Amino acid sequence: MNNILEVKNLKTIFHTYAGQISALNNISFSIGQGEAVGIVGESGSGKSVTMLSIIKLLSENGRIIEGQITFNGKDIRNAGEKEMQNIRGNDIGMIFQDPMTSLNPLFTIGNQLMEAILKHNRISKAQAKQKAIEMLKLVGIPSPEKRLSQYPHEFSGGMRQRAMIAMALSCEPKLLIADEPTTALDVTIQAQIMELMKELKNKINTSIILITHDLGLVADVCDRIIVMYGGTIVEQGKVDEIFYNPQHPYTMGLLKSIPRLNMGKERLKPIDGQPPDLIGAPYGCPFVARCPKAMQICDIKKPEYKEVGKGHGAACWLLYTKNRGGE
Amino acid sequence: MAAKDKKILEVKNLTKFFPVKKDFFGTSHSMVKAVDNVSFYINKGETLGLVGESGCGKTTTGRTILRLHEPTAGEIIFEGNNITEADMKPLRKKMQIIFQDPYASLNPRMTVGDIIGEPMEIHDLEKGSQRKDKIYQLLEMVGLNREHASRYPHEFSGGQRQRVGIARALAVKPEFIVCDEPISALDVSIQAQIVNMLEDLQASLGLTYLFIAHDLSMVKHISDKVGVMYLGKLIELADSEEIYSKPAHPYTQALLSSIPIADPSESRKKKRIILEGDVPSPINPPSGCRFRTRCRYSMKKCEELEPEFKEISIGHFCACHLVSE
Amino acid sequence: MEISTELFKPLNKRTPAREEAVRPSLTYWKDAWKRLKKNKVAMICLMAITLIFLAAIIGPYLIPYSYSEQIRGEEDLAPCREHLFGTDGLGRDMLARVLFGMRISLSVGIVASIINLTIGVVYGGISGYFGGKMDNLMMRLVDIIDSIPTTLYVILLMVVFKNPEVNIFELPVLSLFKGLGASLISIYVALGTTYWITMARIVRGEVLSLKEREYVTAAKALGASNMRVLFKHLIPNCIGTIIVITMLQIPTAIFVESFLSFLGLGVDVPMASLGSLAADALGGIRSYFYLLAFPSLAICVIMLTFNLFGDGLRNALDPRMRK
Repeated sequence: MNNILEVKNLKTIFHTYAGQISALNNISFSIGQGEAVGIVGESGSGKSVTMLSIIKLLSENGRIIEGQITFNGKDIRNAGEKEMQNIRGNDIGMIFQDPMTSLNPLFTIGNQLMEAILKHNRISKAQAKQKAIEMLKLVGIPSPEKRLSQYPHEFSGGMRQRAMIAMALSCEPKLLIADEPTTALDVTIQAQIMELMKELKNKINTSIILITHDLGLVADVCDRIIVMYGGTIVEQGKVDEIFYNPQHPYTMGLLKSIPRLNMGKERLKPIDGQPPDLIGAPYGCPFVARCPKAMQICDIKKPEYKEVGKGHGAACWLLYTKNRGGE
Repeated sequence: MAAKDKKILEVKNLTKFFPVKKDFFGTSHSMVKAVDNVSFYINKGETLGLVGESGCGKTTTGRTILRLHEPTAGEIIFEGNNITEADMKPLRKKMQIIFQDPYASLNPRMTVGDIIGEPMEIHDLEKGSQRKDKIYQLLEMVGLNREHASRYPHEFSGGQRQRVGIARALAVKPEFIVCDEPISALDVSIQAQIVNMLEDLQASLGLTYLFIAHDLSMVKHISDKVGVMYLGKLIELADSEEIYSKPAHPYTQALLSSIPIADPSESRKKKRIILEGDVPSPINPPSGCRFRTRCRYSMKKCEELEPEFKEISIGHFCACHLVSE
Repeated sequence: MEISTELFKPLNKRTPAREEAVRPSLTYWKDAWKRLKKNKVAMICLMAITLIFLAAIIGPYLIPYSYSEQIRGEEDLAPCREHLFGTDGLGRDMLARVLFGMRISLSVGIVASIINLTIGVVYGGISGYFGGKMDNLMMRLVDIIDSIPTTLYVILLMVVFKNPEVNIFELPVLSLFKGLGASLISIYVALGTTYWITMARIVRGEVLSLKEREYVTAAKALGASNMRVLFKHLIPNCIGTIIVITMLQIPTAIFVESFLSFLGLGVDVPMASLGSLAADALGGIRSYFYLLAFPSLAICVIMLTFNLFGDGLRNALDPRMRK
């Protein structure tokens, strides 16, 4: 198998004043070579924690307590900080929600871009500069020679995000993780960035993980979707499967609750209730309190992930009832 | 309904400039043209959606109407009275606002009951046990329960806090509410709950909304009419069906086409109009048509002459040289 | 898998429309108290402060001597059973005098904190909330007051208060304080006019940033008056900072009093303050070192406990440390 990233039974917890939070519960998924995968979920679903666990940048009170992370054939679950530094930026590129916090305001864009290139490549300064210009051109920043000597605050939000993408791509990473890359941007700028992501996907053979809360974004760019809720993966599968043949009640509810431009004035169908509180030990299905089809077992026992088709599966007891009928 | 066609609010040439970079003596030399010559009206019981990107002046428009900012020029007419210079205190009972960020808009040191009771205290509305009953009634109206009155905002999730914010606005029995991006900070599955609730309240209480948002699909759903703003100008205004089916302004067209569609096959089919570049600074906006720097159809005329905001078909207004010819 | 079919029956829903609050009730104060309890040093200091207060208030009644009583034949005694801290050259019990000195010190601390909480908070709040020219004017006044050295100020006040031609204690308000003596009064007045400055500056800064919050706009949109916004919404939200600053200002005020008394500008004889006790003892330091040791130790303990406790409070109350 040519999976670039494999995550198995990942469990991450956070210690807080209010108690222990199980942020991730038995997360397992894999990312293939050159594949674009969207991780979708609402706040607190664990989508960002998944990414931070993989690149080992969890905050101080967070800890991985179980599981395996295999990147490029190597187990990096227990990799040291030095090794991780080498992997981050070199093999895994990262784009964050707010580009301003990830760019150093004291250095020029060119400076930061060249530093990233020089750190991971053995080339001369002049070559690095040439490469930096190339990268800025690739992400669609006009007159890159001039832009190199500018500071982050002279860039607009969309331009900064482009610069971040250029920086993430400058070392030709095997995997690019984008955590809500367009949430802080306007719709028209978001469209620009997403168009750029699509272009890059075709131009360079990088695997992409796109983390977002917007199902619309992943429909366009990704091959596969992972839906997360309450720290677990509730469903994953090919884009079309998720959109046209959802198996988990949460995915169905989510798809129904978004208004569409072509729909009339009919009432929206929201998912009732509030997102779950993750404090304390998890038991049962995290969606049980809001699920319209909840059964008694859902309150007691956590459903196992079950395949329903090629690469498509969900963690829901409903899938087991269908089988039981035949038994 | 006959009452439905009555204008409840009319805004004429509303303008709001903010001074920037004050010098030592407190006088400033440049202005942010946040809202520039905006005119529209809302009929009683209707919802006007106002969309645009950050910095387009939609929030400032909403707050200037409530006189939370003093308008630089123009007139605000509410229920037939010019309120541009009126004493606002009695009017606060009729005009309310719901905020974007449910975390920032509730005082963390007050209980939910105190928060909802505050407007009654300010306006001396209900007293004693009557006030308490009213608070419970409001809580139940927004889908919370009376036990929540003694809790603090931080004990609630985002959607629940937004409900508290709505209950507070309803406490004075307003007729007109400015909804300032009330759902954009909420999770997708919660947004629909809040929108449904706003619609129910509108139907039962006969409220009029000015619904400000950047999410065009939600705006289309809730609004009767939609106005599109760009850099402080209202550039298009029409019935919501009309603006989505026949957008006239190139910016509206681009805005509509950049909405991500939660439907892969349609998304693949769709031809997107990708706008070049960024929104120019509102301190020094482009001459003529403010959109010309990013417009595909930009002509010489656009640079020289500001397009007029004209009615192009019944109830459909647009400010673009292409359409007016 | 062995699961009984029973479990696959639909779950009786707990009325989903009415929503339950998610988080357990944990108010700001409970939360802060929880964190403060975890801080051992702060808790020890809190206990020490309580003891100090108790000693200063009740202590003098528990010992058979008053601070001014001279006991013939018991001059210059070393610490012993009858006089735990020994006696001074005039035969006065040192324990009584140190406890009385602590009273004076703590009274200065209390006066300072009352001034901080009233003038400082209100002045800073108004300055920050109204902003603009008013803020500019009010803060320049603060700068001017801040530039006058406290020592100079106290000396000048004393000159006025001790002027035999104008007996200030004849004034109706001040006659109540006659027993305190002109020097102590002038220290109180000096503290009153200068000790709210730090608080005013910090509250102003907090209010300046808090007034941009949406709940303030919400209150204004509801028709709340300026005073209501300031006292109901802004100042309650700076309360953590206000408490911390007050706690940290108390020991500085106490130190200023001790320092001035040490220089001879403090309380009038026969009253004692920790500073004046230390100053008196300085002459006989070679033979009677304990006369210096006890008041100095008292100053040290008071300073240290208040400062450490203030520090602990800051960690517990400061919203920036909150998760």
